[in-house]
Amino acid sequence: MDFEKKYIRNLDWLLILLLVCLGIFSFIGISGATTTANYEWKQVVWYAIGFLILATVLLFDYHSFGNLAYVLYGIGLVLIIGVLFTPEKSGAHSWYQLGLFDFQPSELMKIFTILAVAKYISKKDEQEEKIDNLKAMLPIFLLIGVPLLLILIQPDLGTSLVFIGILFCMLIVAGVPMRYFVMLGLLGAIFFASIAYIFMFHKDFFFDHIMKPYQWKRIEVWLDPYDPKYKDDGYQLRQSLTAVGSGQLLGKGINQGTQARNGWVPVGESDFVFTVIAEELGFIGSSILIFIYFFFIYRMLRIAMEAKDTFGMYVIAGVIGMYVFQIFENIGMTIQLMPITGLPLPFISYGGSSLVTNFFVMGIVLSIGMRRKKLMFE
Amino acid sequence: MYNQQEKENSRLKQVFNRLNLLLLLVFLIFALIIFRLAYVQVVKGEEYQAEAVSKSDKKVPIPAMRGNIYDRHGNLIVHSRGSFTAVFQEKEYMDKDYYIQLATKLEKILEGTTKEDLLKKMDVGYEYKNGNVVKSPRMTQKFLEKDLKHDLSQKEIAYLSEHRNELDGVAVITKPIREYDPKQVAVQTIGYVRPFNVADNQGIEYYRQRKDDYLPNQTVGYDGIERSYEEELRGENGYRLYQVDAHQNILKQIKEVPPKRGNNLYLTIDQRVQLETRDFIKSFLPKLRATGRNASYAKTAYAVAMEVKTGKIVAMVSYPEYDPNIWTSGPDKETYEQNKYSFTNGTIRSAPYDVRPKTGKAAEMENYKHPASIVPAGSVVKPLTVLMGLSEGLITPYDYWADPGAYHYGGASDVVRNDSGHNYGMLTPRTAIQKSANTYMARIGKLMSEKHGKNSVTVYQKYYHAFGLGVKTGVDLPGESAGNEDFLVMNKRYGPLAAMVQASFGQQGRYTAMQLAQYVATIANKGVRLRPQLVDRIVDAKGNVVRPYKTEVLNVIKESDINWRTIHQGMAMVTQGGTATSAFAGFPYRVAAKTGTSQQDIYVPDSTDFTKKVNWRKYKEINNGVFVSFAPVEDPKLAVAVIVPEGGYGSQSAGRIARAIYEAYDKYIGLGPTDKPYDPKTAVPKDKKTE
Repeated sequence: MDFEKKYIRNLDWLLILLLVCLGIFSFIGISGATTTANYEWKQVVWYAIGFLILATVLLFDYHSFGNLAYVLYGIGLVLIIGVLFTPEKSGAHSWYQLGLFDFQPSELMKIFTILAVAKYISKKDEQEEKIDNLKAMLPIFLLIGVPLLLILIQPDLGTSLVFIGILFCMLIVAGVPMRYFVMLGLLGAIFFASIAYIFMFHKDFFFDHIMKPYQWKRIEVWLDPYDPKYKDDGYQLRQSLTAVGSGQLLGKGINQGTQARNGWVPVGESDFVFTVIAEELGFIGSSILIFIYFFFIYRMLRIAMEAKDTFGMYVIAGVIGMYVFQIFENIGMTIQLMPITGLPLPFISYGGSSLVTNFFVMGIVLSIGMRRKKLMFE
Repeated sequence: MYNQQEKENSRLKQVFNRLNLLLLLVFLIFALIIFRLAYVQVVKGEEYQAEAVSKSDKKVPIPAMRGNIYDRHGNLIVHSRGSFTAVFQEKEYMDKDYYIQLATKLEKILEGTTKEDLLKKMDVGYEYKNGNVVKSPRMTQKFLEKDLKHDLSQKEIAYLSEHRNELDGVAVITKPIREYDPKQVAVQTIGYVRPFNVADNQGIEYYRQRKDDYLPNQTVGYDGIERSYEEELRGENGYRLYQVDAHQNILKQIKEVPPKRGNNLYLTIDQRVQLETRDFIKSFLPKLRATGRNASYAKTAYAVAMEVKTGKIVAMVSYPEYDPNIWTSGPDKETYEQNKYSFTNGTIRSAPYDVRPKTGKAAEMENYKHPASIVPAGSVVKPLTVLMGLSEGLITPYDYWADPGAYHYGGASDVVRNDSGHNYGMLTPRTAIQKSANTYMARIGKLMSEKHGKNSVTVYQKYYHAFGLGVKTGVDLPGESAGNEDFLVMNKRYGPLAAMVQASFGQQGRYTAMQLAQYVATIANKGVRLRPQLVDRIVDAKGNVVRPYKTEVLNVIKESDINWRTIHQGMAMVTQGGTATSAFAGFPYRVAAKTGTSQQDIYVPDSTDFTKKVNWRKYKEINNGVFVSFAPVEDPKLAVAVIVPEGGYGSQSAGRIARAIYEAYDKYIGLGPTDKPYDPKTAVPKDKKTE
């Protein structure tokens, strides 16, 4: 434990204020979705626990997490392998059902992976080695690929895709030469082109080996939820669009959302909480929320720029990748920008284990900012 | 070292560049979200709004059970119960032939109905006339549920459900029905209920503002306690919320909110005193008519008995009464005509004379020949005139004044005489009240106008309003009248002298029985005017008292004790050697009273066709019996006011009824210092019926 007075001064209070703002949106969204259970007040309790965790993490130098990075990564791996042998809940082996609350190890694994990758890249920096060849990049792919695949077979497509977002951001900041991104883009294009080719001309092979029909249908539903064929499958998306759209410019008012309050929006307190907020607060209110998110990301970038060492920068890059991907995917799926996957909206969706993990992450981020070097452009 | 620094810097520079690149990417992603959101919410917003509305939820209300009404001792007077009811609801495809066919079928199924009656109740724009089906105006909106028959038997229910398919439009539902005690307990005071859409159509402001709280055919308070305590009685409707698709098909039930039963009211009315008073009036009026004595047409009576210390109304009769259960089935024209003379509460507003058995034009014409329930107060205002004289210093408590028999106050023809031209000799304020000397009052009126000149009327009003005459009493009933201050017209036409003199003995003001009761109770209370109240306590469905009784003081009149004593003694002398001696002979308590025999000129029109010019002519001069009182004089407990329009002498008509009220009150509650404990054995039996 190390603590100095200047740390308090160095703390990014604005970022904490933004967390409180997100808490208010969370309360509005959750209370607008449920009329029976007091989820919004339980969420307030989780927020309080979250702030306690954040304060505790601040007491430790973030390097202690760096030193433990591989150990934590190992523990995380054990947890996500172990979870595959637990009983199924809503069609996936993603949860340890602890009675008091359910714990989702993949939430923790995200930050553990970020720490491990950041540790690896910063080590390379110390050795003055550049990550400009595949050999140097391979450990990164492995560190991210293993948990990604383990989570994919739970199955939890949404969370495993978050790892791609993390990978992408960390590679950018690590200074991987641009030509690799171009190559990656080309590879992706070839991949999609060949899939399209197989789909068009070898449907049997496509559905036998590449994608199960139900997965393909999900994409079709996404593209046209109003097709009468998808009366049931398109329900969630249609309801979400109706609710968001009917909020119009100014919204229907807090707790006045006719769609959300009367059970038209499925899982409105968790995955579709943005739908509730958009219906009640309209375009103006939901834009404010998006602006808060953007500001939130920007403050983290500021912290990264002033960080004492590159380890801190990489951690934040990973965290940004994680949040931006989740925000984009979650909000995107409510407005037909992305296909629907089960991902919570960070700090807004109801749920203890994701909220607690997020506060843990913010603790590390703020700790990095608190222990920054002197202002650089002096 | 330098090299090291250089290297570190270029490394950092690269990271900064990459972080900036990252910020740009994040910005683009968020911009994409905002653009898409703007498209969904702003560009396409109205479309989605229309969609949200088109397949919105369907709310099906569940009507709440109205609260019960009891008398002060918990005897049930009004209650609600569920009743299996056959209802009819029109559908778009139905036509005249279908209606006739349906009515003909139902006539055989529903016992005791006729197709004529059923077609009328279906309210589809047709009715039978001499065996033919003719067009008739609809009474209510087209798509409302219409009640066909209440209290279906098991057999009828079974038959209707088995033959559902042949009887499209007919359904059996459970409906709360309001049931009133057949003994007819204070019927106009309790009032009645009507379907919401009727109340709304009649433009009752309260209901116009609450369209969302009610079902169109749900019964709501329309008059009386049922109306003024609607908020307490109605409870809270529940509802079932369904998700429906665009074709109104129910997808699933979202939630169910059960209705909350209304609160129960316990009235201040004592059923025993109430019914004994009513029964006395019922048997007394024919006897009164038989005496001749200017009372041959006395068919109506209005009586209020109020407890002096609390303002609780013990009994309140507006005679004739009727059976409010007729409203349950929405009375037909005939029933309505037969009962309409009894609907209005004549103790608080103008109720018509009972012209039955005449009907139609003859009834209308006859109605003009008789007074309504609000008549000139007459001599009952004299105690107030004397008090005003004392208070203004126009007279003193021990004044002696020689009665001139005929009191001249203005020109040669401006003369006031006593009843039957009596001369009462030397008068004091007390004996002036006892003998009901008009001349004495006229003297005070004249002195008033001399003292206050143009302001006389204003000063006079100040006194009267403080006692509740000319203002509303504040009783907890809807549509209360403030009476008529005719002296205002007189003042305008003939000036303050004539107005004051004529008003001094009660010929220039018409007040309700309720106002007179409050007035005399205020005298009994030595100036403390209380709000008359009818609800003793409000109890919720679980039996908790949600509102106990609270005495409400409206205003206090400050007068010296000697002034009050003078008035009380004068009024006590009315039953002891005064105008009401015979009416109270042998009564065990001392009663303070004042009789009134008000003269009224009746004018009738020469025709009831008011589209043309109508000439009014004086038809006759009648005498109304009026009586105000309180007892016992020493420690007043009960105040009673009675009006018998066309009843002749006040003491012989209204005074007799007042005595009956005191006797009933003393028998059951007691005029002594402590109330008798309630004995359930004295309760009026449930099965006792009024024909």
